[in-house]
Amino acid sequence: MNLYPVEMKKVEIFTNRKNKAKIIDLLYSLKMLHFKKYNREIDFVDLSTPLDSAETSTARYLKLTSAINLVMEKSKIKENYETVPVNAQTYFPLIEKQIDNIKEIEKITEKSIDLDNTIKQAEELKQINVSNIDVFGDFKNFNILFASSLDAKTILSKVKAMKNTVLYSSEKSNDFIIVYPHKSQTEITNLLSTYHAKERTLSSALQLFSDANTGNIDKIIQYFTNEKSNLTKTRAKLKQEGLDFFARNKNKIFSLRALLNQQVCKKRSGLYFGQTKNTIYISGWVPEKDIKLLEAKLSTLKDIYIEFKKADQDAPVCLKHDQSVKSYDFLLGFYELPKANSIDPTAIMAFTFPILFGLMLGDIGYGLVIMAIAYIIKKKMEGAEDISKILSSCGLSSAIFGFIFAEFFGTESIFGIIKLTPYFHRIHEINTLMLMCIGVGILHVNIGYVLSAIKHYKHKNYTHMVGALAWMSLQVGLALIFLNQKYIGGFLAFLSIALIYKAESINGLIELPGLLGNILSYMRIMAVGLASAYLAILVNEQALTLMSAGTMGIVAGILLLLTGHGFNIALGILSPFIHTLRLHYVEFFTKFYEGGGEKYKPFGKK
Amino acid sequence: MKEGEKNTNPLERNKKQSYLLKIKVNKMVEPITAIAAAIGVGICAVAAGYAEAKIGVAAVGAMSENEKFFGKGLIMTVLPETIVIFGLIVSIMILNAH
Repeated sequence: MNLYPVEMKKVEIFTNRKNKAKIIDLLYSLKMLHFKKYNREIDFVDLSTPLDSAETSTARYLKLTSAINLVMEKSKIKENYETVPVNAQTYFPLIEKQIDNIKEIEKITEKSIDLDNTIKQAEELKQINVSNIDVFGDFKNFNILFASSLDAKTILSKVKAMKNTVLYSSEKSNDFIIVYPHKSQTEITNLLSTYHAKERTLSSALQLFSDANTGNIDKIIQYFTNEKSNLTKTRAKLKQEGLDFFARNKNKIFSLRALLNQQVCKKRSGLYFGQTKNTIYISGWVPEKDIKLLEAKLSTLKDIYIEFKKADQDAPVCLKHDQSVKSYDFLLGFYELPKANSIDPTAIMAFTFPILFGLMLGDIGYGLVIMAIAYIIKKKMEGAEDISKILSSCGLSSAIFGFIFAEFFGTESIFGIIKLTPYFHRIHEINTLMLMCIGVGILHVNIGYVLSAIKHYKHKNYTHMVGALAWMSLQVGLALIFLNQKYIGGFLAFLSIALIYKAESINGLIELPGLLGNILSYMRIMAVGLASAYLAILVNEQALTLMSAGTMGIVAGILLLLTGHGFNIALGILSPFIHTLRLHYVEFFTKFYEGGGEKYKPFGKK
Repeated sequence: MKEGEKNTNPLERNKKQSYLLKIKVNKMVEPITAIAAAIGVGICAVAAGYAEAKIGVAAVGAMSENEKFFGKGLIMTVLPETIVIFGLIVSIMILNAH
């Protein structure tokens, strides 16, 4: 059981600038060093630069990645491939045309959307009986207005009454064009605003048609429809060719992407270094166990000086766990990773989390269903192993507690065949359950204080260690007062409070009532558990009542059982999960946890 | 069925249901006590809901800016939940006072 993350050491490397490319290659292949970005902390040391041609590699990588994404979006090509040797210098130019073609497909799609729009506009004009757009050429004394309104008919009838106006309109359409003399401007504007007409721009529409080189609206539509069908053909051809090409050369292309990614990483890593005229300075962190290997490998280079220091608080964290508890890392990642050198409670959570969850749900049937769901998640969903493992252990724990409480889908027997005997009847012994929850709370919170004491002991911070222990003795003191040992209990409590004040000053005193709140908060175990048990019982009662009412009743009863228990299981996963998480994050972690660590990402590792 | 008829608890009437768990109904509780207990836990729940809603909005806002705030946001959001637990304890104490 590891209570601490992997021990880290800080490394500082000074070397000749000529070695830059070599050392980057070496560090990349070692996959050990987590870089610390150089932030010009020293006056005469500048920030280093990326290696030569980093820009080309980045541009190529981005271009290829976007093409691959487009291909994967549009075809069934998946990202499983065999790595094959490729040469980026020679292979990329070879496939560049295909990449461009793939990107062209996107452009063509956009273009054909534009064409659709143009055709639509032309058809709108055609519908209001405009046969030739040349008539809208140059009017000196007239304005042209293109608008649409729900009250088009009313507007048009009023416009018709005016002198010197020309109308283009149709019974079927709300659009219309009015050609009117300048002097009628105010009249027309008023008319339009009265009937909420929406003015549209004709000029931009006409601009769109200029490609067609004709005024005839039918010809314009014809022209653009042809254009579109040509584009569609080109697009289909490009798409087929491109997809075929990608499918044929899948391994090579994906390998090229991996290679380019590697090049980009390497070339840009220079940005983490510091440099002077002749020297580069690299700093970072490395796990303590890898120090010797790193030193041996780096010593093969000329002109190099390496120094190892004790890691500080900024060091990245690498959690190390056995397979059995590893999935609980996921719950820590949900919150915040612990800081380097501080306690990593994953191993403890792997025990306490399922226990608290099981205590809340506590039903054999629900536990088994949750285990089945976990199994399905494991089989069907990739990358959800962690959540599936957590769920299955929570389900198992629920089933075990269900056995203790003798609950199977809210009944006291397994399908009415095997009668269960409760070791503890939680529905009938609410007061005992309450005390039990508080007991669990005291235990859990005190594990937190013990961890806090261990943490302070390791940091040789003895005042705080005594402070953490004083929180525990305070509880003993209060318990003694409760048991009528007023003098001893009072003395112990007073002493504890004094020690807490010494360790944590006024903050500790403010936290005092919080201790009670923290412990009582574990009553939620009872509340959540009983709510789920009551719901199950109610569903069973109602279903049984329905079932005694004939055939239809039996069908309805079974439906009620399925939906009711289904709903209760959904709640039974969500609610205990969130509440257990909360009990850990709020009541447990606040005692010892220091979050905000950065994840250990060694250079070269994906 | 004689036993069943004597039993005033409607949930324990049917003997066929012997395998079912039954909710224990405390016959000694007077209506006014039950209402007091319900008000105790109910108002606490409304208060906690009100507080959590306000904090939750801010927490979700912070989270959409930076996902790292999930942990802190969750803690802040669930803090008022304890109020309901206190209400629940008071309610149980009221019910057990008889």
